[in-house]
Amino acid sequence: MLQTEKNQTDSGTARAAREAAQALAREVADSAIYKEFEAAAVAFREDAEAQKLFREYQSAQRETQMMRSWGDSDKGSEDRFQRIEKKLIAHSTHKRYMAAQEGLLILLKDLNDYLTEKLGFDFADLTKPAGGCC
Amino acid sequence: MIDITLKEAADEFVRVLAASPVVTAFQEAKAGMESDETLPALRDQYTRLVEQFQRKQFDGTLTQQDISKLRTLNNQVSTHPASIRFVESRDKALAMLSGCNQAMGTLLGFDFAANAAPAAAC
Repeated sequence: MLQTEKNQTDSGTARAAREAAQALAREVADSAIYKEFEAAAVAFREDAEAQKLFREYQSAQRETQMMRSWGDSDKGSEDRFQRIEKKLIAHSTHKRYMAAQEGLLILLKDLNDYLTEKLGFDFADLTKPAGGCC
Repeated sequence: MIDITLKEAADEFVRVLAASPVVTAFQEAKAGMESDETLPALRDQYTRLVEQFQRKQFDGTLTQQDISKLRTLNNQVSTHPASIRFVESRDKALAMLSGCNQAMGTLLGFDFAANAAPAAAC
């Protein structure tokens, strides 16, 4: 095969693969699990009380981590952090968002397991962005 | 558990990938590496040696001989013809497969592979 013909075939296959990947992603986006994830994410973003609690949680977490790293952790700030964390975990909008996220992750992992079984290699593990370890 | 429509779309994606010469070359190289007569044993030996190396490094008992042994084995693994075939074919397939992952991410609003991949062992 001439090099130009081969290149055209390669780019044609790559395009077909991308289109099939998009069709697969569309099916994921059409699933009830993904729709619930989107709805839960919007509800969480638009819930002022949940957002306030989340900001308080982040701030308390930063403060506690900083104090721990200085070896200066005190019971008061640890208790405050745990109290806010408990409130956030129990908040219905946040709870819904976390459950939806968990459900979506399970779906994505199940889908990748299916692809892995059919392809003979782990699609996600191979194509995930490179990152540092821990 | 994935439903039937998702399975069908996944099957079509797999079918298109399996028709790609770069992907089949990678699949063959991977199978070749796994079924090679000498490479799996070499890789197992290398893994064991790395563990020993780390232990000795921690204990402060690491010798120049340990370092040389590990280097030699590493060289044997990486220059093995089946390893070379695997790495070369993987790099070629990766360009196409990453393009697919990117296409999925654009539609989903997050990186599919980053979320679906098994947790990394540190």
